[in-house]
Amino acid sequence: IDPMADERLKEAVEMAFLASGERERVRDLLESRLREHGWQFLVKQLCKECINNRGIEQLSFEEIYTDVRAEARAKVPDEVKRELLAIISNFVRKELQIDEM
Amino acid sequence: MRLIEPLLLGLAVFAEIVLSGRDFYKILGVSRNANANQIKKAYRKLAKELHPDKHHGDDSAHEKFQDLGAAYETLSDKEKRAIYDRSGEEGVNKMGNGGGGHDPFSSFFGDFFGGGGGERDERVPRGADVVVDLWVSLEELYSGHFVEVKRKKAVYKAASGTRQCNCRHEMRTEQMGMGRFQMYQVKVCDECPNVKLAQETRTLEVEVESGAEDGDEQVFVGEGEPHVDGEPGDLKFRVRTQKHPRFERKGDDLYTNVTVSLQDALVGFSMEIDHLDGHKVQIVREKVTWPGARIKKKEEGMPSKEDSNTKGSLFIIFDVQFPKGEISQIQKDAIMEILQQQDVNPVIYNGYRPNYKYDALLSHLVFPSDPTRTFKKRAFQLCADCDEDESSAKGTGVLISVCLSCPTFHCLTHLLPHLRDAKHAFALSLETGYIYCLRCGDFVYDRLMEVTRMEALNKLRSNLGLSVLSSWNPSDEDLSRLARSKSSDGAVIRPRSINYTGPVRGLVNMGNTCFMNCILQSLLHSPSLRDFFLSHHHRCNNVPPTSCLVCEMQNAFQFFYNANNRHSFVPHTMLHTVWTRSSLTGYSQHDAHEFFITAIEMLHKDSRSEEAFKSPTLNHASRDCKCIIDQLFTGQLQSDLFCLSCGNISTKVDPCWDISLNLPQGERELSLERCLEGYVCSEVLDSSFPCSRCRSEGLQKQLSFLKTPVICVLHLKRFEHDTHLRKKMTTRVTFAEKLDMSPYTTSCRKQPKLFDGKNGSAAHINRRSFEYTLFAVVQHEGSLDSGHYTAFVRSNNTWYLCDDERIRTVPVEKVRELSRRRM
Repeated sequence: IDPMADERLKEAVEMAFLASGERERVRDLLESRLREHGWQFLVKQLCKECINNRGIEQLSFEEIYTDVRAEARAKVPDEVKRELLAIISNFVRKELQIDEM
Repeated sequence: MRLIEPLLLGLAVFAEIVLSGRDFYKILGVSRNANANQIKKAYRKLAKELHPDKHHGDDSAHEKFQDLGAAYETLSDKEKRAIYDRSGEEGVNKMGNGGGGHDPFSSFFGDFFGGGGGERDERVPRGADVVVDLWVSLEELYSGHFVEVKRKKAVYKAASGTRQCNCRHEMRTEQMGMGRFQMYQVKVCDECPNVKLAQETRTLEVEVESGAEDGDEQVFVGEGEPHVDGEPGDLKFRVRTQKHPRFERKGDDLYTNVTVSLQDALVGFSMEIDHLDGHKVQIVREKVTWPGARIKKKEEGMPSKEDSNTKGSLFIIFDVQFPKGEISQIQKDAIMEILQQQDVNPVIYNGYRPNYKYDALLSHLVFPSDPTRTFKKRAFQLCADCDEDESSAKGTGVLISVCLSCPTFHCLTHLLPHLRDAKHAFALSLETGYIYCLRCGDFVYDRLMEVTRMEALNKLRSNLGLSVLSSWNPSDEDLSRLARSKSSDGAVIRPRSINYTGPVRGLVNMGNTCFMNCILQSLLHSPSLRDFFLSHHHRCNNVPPTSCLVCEMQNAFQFFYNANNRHSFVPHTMLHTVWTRSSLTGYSQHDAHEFFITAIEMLHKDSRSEEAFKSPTLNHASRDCKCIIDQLFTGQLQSDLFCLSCGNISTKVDPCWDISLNLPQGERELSLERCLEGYVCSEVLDSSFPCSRCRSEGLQKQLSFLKTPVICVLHLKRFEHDTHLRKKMTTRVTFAEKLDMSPYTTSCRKQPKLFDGKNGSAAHINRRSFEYTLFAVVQHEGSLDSGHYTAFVRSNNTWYLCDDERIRTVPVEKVRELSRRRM
């Protein structure tokens, strides 16, 4: 029993995920799904609110990020999460099958 | 007599203590010894503000304007001004030089009245317009200037006798007997008084406003080429900027270059720059000035056109001149002693390609051509200070960046502290490629860097077979326009009318294409479709792109809503596309509904192929498709089958794009709501459909709308296919402008089922109630074989009748009372 086998497998799958371009495709899909569900708009509103509260002068990306992050993450629609998860697990399953063969 | 008058008036002045007339200088707001130019400028400015067209019904404004006119009339004329100075307004009046009220103005006012003077009648022939480039210097543009232009033009003057005018050719037909006709052309002319051309010289004054832009035009109405039968054209002066030896203008900003000596560059200096109107701009530098250094002097640019009190900025770019000739060894030693740069090594790099370093970083770390290499570097990068790494299951805010001075990795929170402590200036974000700057304490954005970044990103994407991202960058023209259009509340772009209120345009019939025209008109007036197509959402990936119906639609929308063009247009390319890809070919009449369905399907198919290109992992069941057609037109129809015997309910949901309503026979008139009722009411199926569970007969089928589409298309089936005859039903169906679909939806017909959907997820999507508002009606007149389609469309609360290329407004009542035979 090789304790590192799992680790290596995980690495291999992640590598395939990246190399095949699947990661970028999934990222594109995520972006368009979030936009369709109005999430992007919502986050934009949150950012604007943050800017109004803090003032645009001397405001850094980090400050907006820390303000907005929690709520933005919470507002990601479950539908989108499910879909993404399905796609990724599909991919992993396919990769593992090919490997084990 | 003239000589005597002033003397008499002179006596009168002594008698008066206070001038009984108006103070013209005060009215114009100029000093008593203002020169002619200043007076003109003052008058021009005030005339614009006080023009009666701007103050309707305000009598005091009218009076002020008249005062202004009188003031200018007096003060612009040398003689009159002299008299006024001596004896006031009365003196001027007594001069008896009345009348002539408009002559001093007309050389000026061409554009005033011409601009406000209403539309030119298309039918009156006009002479040609003359456009003259007026070259002005920056100084003139800075302070404003008046240019006198002598124009020699030909004018039609009355002469004796008559001439022929308005000549045209007409066709006459003559009967030759025996049923034969001959057509021939005849030249028919009117008679009008004779005119002849004479030369006239006029002096015009062109005002160059301060802050005017290259390309600004001043129009003198009627001063262009004359036309023998009609009105003369216009004379337009176009401002052209001469090149200036010291300054360059960009929008409201000015740019200049200054070369200083090496000594000044190192030790600091102070200097003056002569500005365009002669005033001096002070520049003081205490710190080191390097070649390419820029400083900005606010309010020293060009005045803006609207508000001559605000100006743009003056940018000064420095260059350093190095001493030529020999430097003695003693001097060299002294310099080395001062500068102490013995340990600084030369940096060798490729300066030919801009941003080579940045590009190298990006292609290795962030957007690599060989993903496996970067993966080894990127994966499991832990922040040096916290144990957060990119693939942390908790996902507690990562954004790992690498410090560019010492190769350590940091998450966002720890990045700035590290840079500060280690005094390292920059870091690179591994996911996005943006540069983080210590001094700014933030990611920075630079246009040139962004170009490099996008190039690297797109290289990766095209290697992976993904679509390439494009970003829009404003062109120089856009930038100058943006710079100019600053409005008073700080907004950069003035909004144009948000609601399109122009008249609807007609569509030319290309041979029995009225069916297409009507559907097209209806689609063109749907606000959601319009918003989609006018915002260029469609990126065409179809092969060949010329037969993509979505592209055709987009072109149609763009063309149709082009405010510059009001004529009817010919949708021939769209017709061709539909012809080549469907069965709706030929010149015969087709069914509008059939066309609608075909068009919808084609648009859906063409949109879907774009979706497929974007993300091949997407499941293409039609329920998941998010193309614009599905978003707007697709509803879901639920069909429930109740079995009365065993109680089994089998449900099936199908997508639907329109609702075809049968018209029950035997009724003369009924409402649309009743038709819909009939559509969704329960129907007992006959024995050919037994229950799947208990096999008994007598299933009850009920339709309901699980999801109603955003745009609801109702089709009244008027053509009845009887055994031998096909006749058109003339049942009158009444409808109102609002339709409530809630009684026909699943949620109302069955137990209250919580109807989720797109309703609550995001604030900006309108809460979809089930109330629909009518915006188009397509009507068919005539019989089955030969008939004509017309459409009624609504554009912002005005209804129009579209009969191919003929558009007429109709009052809303007429739409309501239509004996509707909608197909």
